[in-house]
Amino acid sequence: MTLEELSHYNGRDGNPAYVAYKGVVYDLSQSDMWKNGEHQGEHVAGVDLSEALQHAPHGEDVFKGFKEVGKLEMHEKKIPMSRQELKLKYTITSKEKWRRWYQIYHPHPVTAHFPIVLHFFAAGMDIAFIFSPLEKFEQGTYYAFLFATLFGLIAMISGILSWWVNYNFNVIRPLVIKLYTSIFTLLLGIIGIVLHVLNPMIAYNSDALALFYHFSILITVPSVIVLGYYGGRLTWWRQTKSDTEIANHLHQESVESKFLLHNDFTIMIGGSAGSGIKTIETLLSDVFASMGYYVFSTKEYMSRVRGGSNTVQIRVSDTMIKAPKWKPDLFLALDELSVSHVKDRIGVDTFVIGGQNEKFSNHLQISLQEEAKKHVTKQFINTFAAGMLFGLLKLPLEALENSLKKHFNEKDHEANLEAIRQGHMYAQSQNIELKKFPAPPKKSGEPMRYIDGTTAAGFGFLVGGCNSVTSYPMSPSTGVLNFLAGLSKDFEIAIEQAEDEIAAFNMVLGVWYAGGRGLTTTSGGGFALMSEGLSLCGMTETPAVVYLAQRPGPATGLPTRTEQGDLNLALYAGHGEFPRLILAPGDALEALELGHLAFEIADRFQVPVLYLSDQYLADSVQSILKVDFELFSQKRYIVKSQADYLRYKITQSGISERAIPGYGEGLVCCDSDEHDERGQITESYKVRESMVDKRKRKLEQLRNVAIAPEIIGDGNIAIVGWGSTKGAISEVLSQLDDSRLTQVHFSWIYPLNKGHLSKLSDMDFIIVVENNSNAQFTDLLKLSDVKVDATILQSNGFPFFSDILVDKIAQKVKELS
Amino acid sequence: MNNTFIRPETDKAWCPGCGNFGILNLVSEVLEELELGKQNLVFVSGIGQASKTPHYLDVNMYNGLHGRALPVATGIKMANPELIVVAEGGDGDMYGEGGNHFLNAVRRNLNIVHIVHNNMVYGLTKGQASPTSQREFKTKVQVNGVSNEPFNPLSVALSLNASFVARAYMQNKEHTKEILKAAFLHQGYALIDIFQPCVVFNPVNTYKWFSENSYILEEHDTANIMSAMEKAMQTHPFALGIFYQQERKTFEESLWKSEETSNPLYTQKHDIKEMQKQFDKYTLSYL
Ligand code: SF4
Repeated sequence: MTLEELSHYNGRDGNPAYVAYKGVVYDLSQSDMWKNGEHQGEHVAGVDLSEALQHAPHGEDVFKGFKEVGKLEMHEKKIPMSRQELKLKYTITSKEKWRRWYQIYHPHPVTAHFPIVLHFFAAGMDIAFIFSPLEKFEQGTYYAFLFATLFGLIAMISGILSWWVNYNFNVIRPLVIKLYTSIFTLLLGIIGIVLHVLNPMIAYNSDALALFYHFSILITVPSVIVLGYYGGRLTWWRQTKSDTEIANHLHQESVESKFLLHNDFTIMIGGSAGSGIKTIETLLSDVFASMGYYVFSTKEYMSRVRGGSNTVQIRVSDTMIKAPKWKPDLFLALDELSVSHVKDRIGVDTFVIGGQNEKFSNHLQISLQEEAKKHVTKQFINTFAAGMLFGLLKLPLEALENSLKKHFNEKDHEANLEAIRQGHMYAQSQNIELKKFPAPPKKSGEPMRYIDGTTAAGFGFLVGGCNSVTSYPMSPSTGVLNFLAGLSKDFEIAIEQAEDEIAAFNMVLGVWYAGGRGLTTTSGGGFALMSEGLSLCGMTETPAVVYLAQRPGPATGLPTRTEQGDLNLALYAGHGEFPRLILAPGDALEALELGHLAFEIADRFQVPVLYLSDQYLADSVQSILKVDFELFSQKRYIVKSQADYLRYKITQSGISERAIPGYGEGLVCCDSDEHDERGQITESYKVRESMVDKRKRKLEQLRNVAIAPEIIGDGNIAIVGWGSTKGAISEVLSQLDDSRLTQVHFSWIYPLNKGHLSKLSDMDFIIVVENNSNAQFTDLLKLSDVKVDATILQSNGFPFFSDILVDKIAQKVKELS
Repeated sequence: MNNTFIRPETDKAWCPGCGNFGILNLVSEVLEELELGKQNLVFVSGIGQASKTPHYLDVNMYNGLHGRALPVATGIKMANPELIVVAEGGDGDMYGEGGNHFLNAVRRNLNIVHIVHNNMVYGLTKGQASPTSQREFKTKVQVNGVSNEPFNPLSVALSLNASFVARAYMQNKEHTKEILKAAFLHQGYALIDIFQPCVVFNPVNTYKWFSENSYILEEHDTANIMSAMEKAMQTHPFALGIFYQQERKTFEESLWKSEETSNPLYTQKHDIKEMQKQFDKYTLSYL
């Protein structure tokens, strides 16, 4: 049954009352709650209630016991039937924008409260006047009534707007009652005021007109009660915000934490791979979050499974921070090797614990392994060290104990708790003064959350509707594959490990072609193999999403380290010319948000979307606010084909309706050769020209919906970054506290929108910060005629450290100005 | 015969007399006789003369890249297991450029019909050796004759426990159709290697040569993989027929564990409430 057909079963005029829920159509004619096809005066029969039920006080079990009479044809409601409708769907008109704004801020309940209160006040005054006819009571009555009526008019207008915005002028009982009652109230108001204007002394009279005057004032009270009552019963749909709006909204939230100076304490721990360094990282991130702190942690590891020397850095702060530091406040060496490994990173203020072969100015020169062995056993060095840390920082042991209990198997509790206590006691006996530990931030009522860039991206793809992942494993991208594979039991996600990246990407195309939403995860080398398929994707206009987590190349490069070196690869991969989108998130929240956007855009514009992350962002953990997944739009752009369906129909936007095989009457033909509208191979130069043009128009469409760079500050020196440099740059700018500096962060990398770049041309100086040696994004900006004055580049395999970047930026600013 | 599976208004790019015409007709007749619904039928192909076959069939088509038909077919089966998927191409496409995908399609037991036109030469690039070219075959590139061992698709597939392995010669029309039908009715991966003479670039393996160098398998146990292997290893003459057929768990059956979840993906949406729950689980692990 289609939505069209369903609408006939509205329960009126002897028709049965059917409603659809999650694709199933139920017959509710026999329900007492659905007399005349109406339910609670709010809902009517003959429609799909899937969405509305989410706002209902009861669950879906209410349909139990009713007869299933059919299935609602999926997607029917999402299919635009004509070019006109299609266009409407794709372009948000200013009317639509306004409508969305109105839905989000919904002023009607606010405007309605004024007149209600005033009407009560007027009636109260009038009663007082009737008992003691004083002039002040008469005046109070009249002016309260006058303003009540005026505000009532405003409330009515806003109410009608809400009716249109939320209910599309659908006739449902409470709204009709509200409409009649408010007209009635308004008329009484006007009559009362007119009577008073004609005869200002009317209240003192006792003729019929005077009686009517008092009546009009008193009777409005019950009528506003009716208005308020039905108003309260209505569900004002909260509209799902559009993607760009979400982006802006989320950005605003992060702006607040910008330029707030933070107090933090940076702890670094070094040890060999497999020595449990990961355990201590999890334990500490967790305990600090549970104490209400913002945490940031990042690791640096060698490309091996056991041995070597790795570090984790945990920063604990009273405000959001999203960058690592080169020199920690405290370094905890689990073994000797780690001390020599990080020697360069020990600052004059760094307190070093452990390591006997080197000597530092602030140093507890012990062997942690020996101490652990002395107090517990060597095996518990991690928890011993954690306890020690808490002792040194004078933090409550209880919090640590609680976290430990949650992370360890019950059988390991006792020994580890003992190790913590021993470590704590040992530290206290040492009499060491460390840099002041920040006080926890004010409690917001919301518990602190933290997430790594991999998981954040994974959730983004999930809320983007990703339901297939086909990949060949490659660090540092594999985390997303693992994450989604792990969730494939809870969600419908088809996972397949491909024989190579070529297959992985071609599988993605097969998935999308047949109606799925496919993702592949890879890094530079693997993506290079996908270039050929990317070109096919462009030609066949099949959507695709690639999660490309960069690591330093060329070739195998530094497999476990970070770089932003694959922008040019992403920009130019694939033979021939075709549109593509490149996104690069700057932090965990953006990672999530852009994951959703990647799928939305891929589907809507039928282009490949390349999502550029990097090892640093993928592996670092940061605090994140609660994300409301309901806010993300869940649009689907598949149409049911007609018999004469043309896959590559020429349209003004360049986007042709996308049907899939097996859904509808038509056939879906995609061709890697140049093709005509049917998808049939052709060598006609005319068809070629029109198809090249069509594909090109999609690029322009993409440009139009581009997300503007995030701009923080209003100085005239721009510090420009893209992708994962965001956190480091913003920490630096907050430290420098120089009003001339403005952060400009790009997460929508290509195609750039000229309008967005015009803000850059107003700047006196532009400094671009990039984690590569060829200034690849700078080149892209230059192609768009942006004049770049200086670059700060790095390609040593590390992310940008805020305490190093701060000097570099200060230096460049000094040179330029 | 007026076949509804032949796409109208197409300009066939093949040379007159090419064996591809014969295969196109046989395939379209089989589709017609099996009364398959066009809408649920997808032909996936790569690049080459044989890969153009889907262009001339009135079915859903995804004509991709040289050698890459099988991964696309895999993706299609992942997204919609209800579709009947056929991958069709030539020996260079499927065994050469796409060799790794061939191995893995067999290993997955991808539930598709895999038709390979085998003419033992590269036609579209004008006459170089293909993976199945016989030794001593001279070309503009292999000027001293082919020295590589010819690729044996049947024994390779059998060694990977393919669930359906067959060879046909397009001139044996009824026999080829019979095999094709069996392949369509088979649940799981079905390979049909079809001998097809290239009249322009292969002066050695001609219609006559194929007739003289092949014979139809009789009294062969298709459930016995060892004897299938033995037959597959014998060449000159080449046996024709179904060598081996044994259904086993298919790719999509392993992918979607339970019946109810094997719905096409386009009918599904994730549960947002569950997502919210998972997000809490991941971001508030200490709670
Ligand atoms: S080159 Fe050979 S295989 Fe290709 S169309 Fe001509 S005859 Fe057929």
